[in-house]
Amino acid sequence: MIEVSHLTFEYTGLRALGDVSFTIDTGSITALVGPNGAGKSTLMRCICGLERPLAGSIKVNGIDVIEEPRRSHEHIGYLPDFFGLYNSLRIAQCFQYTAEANGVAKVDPDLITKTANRLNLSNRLQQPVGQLSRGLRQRVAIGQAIIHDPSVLILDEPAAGLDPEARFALADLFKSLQAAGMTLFVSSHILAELETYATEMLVIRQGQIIDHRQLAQTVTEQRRLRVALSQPDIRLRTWLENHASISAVKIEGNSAIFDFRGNDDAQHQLLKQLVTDDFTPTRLTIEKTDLQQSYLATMKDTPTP
Amino acid sequence: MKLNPEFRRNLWIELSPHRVILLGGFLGTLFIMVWQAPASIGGNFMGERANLFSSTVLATASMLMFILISIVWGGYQAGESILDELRSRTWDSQKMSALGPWQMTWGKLFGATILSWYGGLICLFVYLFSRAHTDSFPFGIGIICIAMAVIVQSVNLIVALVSTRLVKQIKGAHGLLTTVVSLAGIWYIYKGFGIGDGDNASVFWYGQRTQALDFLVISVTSLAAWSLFGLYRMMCIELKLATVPWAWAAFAFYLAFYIGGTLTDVGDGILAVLSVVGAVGFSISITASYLTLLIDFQDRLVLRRIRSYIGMGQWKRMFQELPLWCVSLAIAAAFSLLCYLLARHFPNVDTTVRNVGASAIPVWLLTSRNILILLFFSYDAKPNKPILMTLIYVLLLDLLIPGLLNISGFGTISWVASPPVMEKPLLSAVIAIIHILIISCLCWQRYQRNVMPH
Repeated sequence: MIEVSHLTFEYTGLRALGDVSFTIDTGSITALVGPNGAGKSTLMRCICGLERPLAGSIKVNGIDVIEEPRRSHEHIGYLPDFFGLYNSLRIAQCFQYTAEANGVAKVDPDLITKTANRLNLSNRLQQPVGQLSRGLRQRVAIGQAIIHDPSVLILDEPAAGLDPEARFALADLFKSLQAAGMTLFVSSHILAELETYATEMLVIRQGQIIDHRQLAQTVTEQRRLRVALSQPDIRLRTWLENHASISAVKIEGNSAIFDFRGNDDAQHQLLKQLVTDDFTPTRLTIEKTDLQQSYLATMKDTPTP
Repeated sequence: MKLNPEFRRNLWIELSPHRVILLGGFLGTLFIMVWQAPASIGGNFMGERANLFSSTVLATASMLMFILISIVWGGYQAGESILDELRSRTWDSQKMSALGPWQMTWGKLFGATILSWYGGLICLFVYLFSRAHTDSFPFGIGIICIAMAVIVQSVNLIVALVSTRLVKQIKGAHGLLTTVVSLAGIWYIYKGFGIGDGDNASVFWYGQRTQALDFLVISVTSLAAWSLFGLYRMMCIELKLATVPWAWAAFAFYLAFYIGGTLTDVGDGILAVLSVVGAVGFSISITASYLTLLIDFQDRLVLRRIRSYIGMGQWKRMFQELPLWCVSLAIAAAFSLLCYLLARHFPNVDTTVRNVGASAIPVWLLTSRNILILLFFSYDAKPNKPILMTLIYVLLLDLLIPGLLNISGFGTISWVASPPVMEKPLLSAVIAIIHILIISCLCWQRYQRNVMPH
């Protein structure tokens, strides 16, 4: 869906993106995370064809963005971090204009109503955009980005300035767009928010991709478990460390936390083995590793490029 | 037929019923007052004489209103159409749309100025009506007016697009300046061709006698077409559509051919004509090199991109990246060679043309030197007023140092700083090459230190 190959982009005296390559699959929601100045916005603008890179290629839906930016825009929706709206137009006019400008063959009232419904704006369609609150303006901007039903939606800090309720609604919207087959590429500093909907995480630092992982896979095939015993047992660490599917063991009192590779059945077998070997487990639970922890661990473990 | 979405959006914003009624009502009232004024004075202004006087005053008033509404206000509005997008941060969304450069060009140019066209066309209609009884060619004037408005509005839009690259703070003052300069140009052409001197004024173009008004109609119409095309190409660049800069070269050749025609006669022979056209072309392309450098010099990575594309063998991309000052300089090089060869082998031409030919190559080299000086200052880690610094250094080299040497009695070596391009073109070329080599080395060092990534 999005194929970035050997992408290099420079500002004067600074390589903002250095030989960046990655592929994003159809129907995924990829969280682009990294510290300030890592190159997130530049990467997004390059994918959108708004900046011309020094070298490399970018393909969206098989269309070369650098060679055919206008054609690729029919397939891309983009919400910049600092977006603007036409304050003197009404919401319905904004939607109609954006749909037509993005090549929608027939813009009928149904399309505008459908988009407004998705964003809970249906009762405000005749309201001038200049009179809207920050949250509502954000929704209009997202509506403009999705009205032409793009296959790829790129959002730069979409939840910035939104209240918790609006963020929750936004996460729901993103999940529904993904369910409808859209591929989302989202950058945000609020990792807890990304966690609710992201399926992949792309970590960028100093213009280089340092990690690209499947988040959904982490939950199903590799999990961090906590086993609690009724009393401390000195054998536990050795036993766990010798287990083929276990790594990164950490003992906390009468509990142990470790990475376990396997599904639910394998987890059941692990519990049985613990009991068989005379341990006294009182509970075996999945220790939730949030995106924040995962991100910080990646940043800590990866040397600075 | 589907209406251009950009044009329609501008109609929504600009053309409210209130504005349409207000402007129409204002102009209607104004013209009725002007028409009735002579009759209301009475006395000598009665009957046929009053009608004639009324129509003359009405024609003048309507023409003035056309200039004010369509050219001054319309030009300002055209520039604002882009600046507003930047101020309200909507330009990125526009660039992300699937609208083509031509749709964007005419949608903005005629959409953002729709109200000024509405008012201007009312004025023009009143003008044609008031001049209908005269023997002159009012429709020619009408065509000129429309073409002039298109030129001023397009140029304003181009200047607005360019200015967004040059200055961080976006202001609309340049629009007024562009309009004033354009109006001065219009007045100069109007008087220069003797349009105001009567219906029989004529112009000689390559020795062919033509009615001045007809010539002006063709001139401004073709310039309007060029300005529209220039705006279209500028929009292509803004929308990141890669273009090879042939249009700029074509425009430079067109200008040389057009202006050259007013200065020469085909009856003098092909070499004489070529000498004049070459000299004009050289002057235009040297001027264009400086002007386009002011637009492009802040893009400090352009030469790095070009070098990268050459390294990868991507020649088409390399040509697409070429800044306009490089193209202008290349055209100037071609013209300088032509001028030089013609001056050597065909000396029986006008002295000015012969002088241009003899000094063309050193002048071209000194222009390249000046461009390198500006690049040197722009490659500074924190460039501080590079244009001003370049001006100071060029003045130092060409004026102050030679002046000081002359005063001190070392006049004979003042050519080390400012070569005598007219008197000793060959020596001047050698000195200019030495200047270029020195500044190139300094430029390269700064480029490696400040522009290359660390």
